[in-house]
Amino acid sequence: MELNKENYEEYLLLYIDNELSASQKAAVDAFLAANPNYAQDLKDLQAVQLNPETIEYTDKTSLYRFDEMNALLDPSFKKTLYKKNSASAKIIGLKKTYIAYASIAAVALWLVVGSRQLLQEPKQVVADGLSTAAIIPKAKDYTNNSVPSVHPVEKQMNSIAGTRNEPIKALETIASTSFTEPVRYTEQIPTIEIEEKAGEISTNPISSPAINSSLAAEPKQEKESFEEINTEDNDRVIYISNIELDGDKFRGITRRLGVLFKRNKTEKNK
Amino acid sequence: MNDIAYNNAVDQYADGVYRFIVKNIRNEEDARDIVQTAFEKLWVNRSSVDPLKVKSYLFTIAYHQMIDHIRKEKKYSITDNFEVATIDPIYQPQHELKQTILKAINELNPTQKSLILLKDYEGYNYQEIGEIMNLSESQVKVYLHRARLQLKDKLIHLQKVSA
Repeated sequence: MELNKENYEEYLLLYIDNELSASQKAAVDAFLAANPNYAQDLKDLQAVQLNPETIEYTDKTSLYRFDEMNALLDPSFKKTLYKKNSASAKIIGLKKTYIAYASIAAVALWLVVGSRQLLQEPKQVVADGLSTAAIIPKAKDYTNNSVPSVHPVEKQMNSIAGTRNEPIKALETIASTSFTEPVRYTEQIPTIEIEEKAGEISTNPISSPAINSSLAAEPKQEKESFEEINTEDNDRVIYISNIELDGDKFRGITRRLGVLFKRNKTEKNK
Repeated sequence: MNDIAYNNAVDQYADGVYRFIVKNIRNEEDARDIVQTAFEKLWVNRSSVDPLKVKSYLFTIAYHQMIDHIRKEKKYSITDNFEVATIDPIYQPQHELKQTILKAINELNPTQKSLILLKDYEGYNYQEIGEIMNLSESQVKVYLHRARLQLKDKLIHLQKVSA
């Protein structure tokens, strides 16, 4: 279709609607340049176009949906979130108290479990002491087999290592479990070095298997203590996840309640 | 579409849909209800809605809800918060022109107004507008052009009167 004085208006309309191809646009521009008296028509049409303005939908939280939360909440409670009449207020009140009781119960449970864990911790320290003690004789046995002269040094070192480990363990029980592993590594490496040195001091070539055996005993000790830490970890993970779950629920519910109050407000204002 | 995609759609399109409706019916409370219904429908049908067409889905639902609403209401309130919302205090002459244009737009019928809003505010092309408003592409073109020329004539007339 050729652009002419009969159909130019339609082209101008398509032009402002941005429905023309690049070449068609160029044709309109060329036409207007050739016929400046029609330029005003384009200006008038552009004048009645609307400029986008920002209008915000303020209550977006009421539109949000949460699949998991929906599954958790019971239908009667969900209904109250969408209903406009205040008859639902009673049900919400009831729910609120339920939530309050539930949260109190959760905190109490957590406290009880927490205190029980604290009580159990000293026992674990004792158990650790016993396990190290059990390993020491083992190392002793090896050294007995090889060279008896190394034995007292070894024993001393082991006992030093043992006494050293104990305060660390006490600290570990206080500190969170995630940091205990690196601490153990850094502290245990020097004890191995000392033992090696002790082996060197003895200067007995036959004592090298003794060192090896004591080194072999060392990882065993680590293993056992790791196992104990791991069990502790598992316990704590359960408690922590418990708290997290409660936190999620609580947040979701408070958000919903917040929305509800907001709505009630706007209704009252209305 | 999962709940994350849905909530993203709320963030992205709630303002636009609300603007489209509130400019048309000029009643904030009713516009909010329509927006809420549109998003409820999106939520219910989220598995069947094409993720690329979420926006036009919302506009389509909202538009038809609005038409139903207008039919029910029958009367068309002429309280002009439309104008109040768009006052530009800095440029007085432009402000007057704007007021004139907005007055003229408010006198258009809902279909014409929707066409202009979807074109100028949302930048939809004729085909997309046709899908939203259940019109053919050529109908969109003809109706929209008619509305624009009507506005232009009105503007020229008002300018002549005030001159």
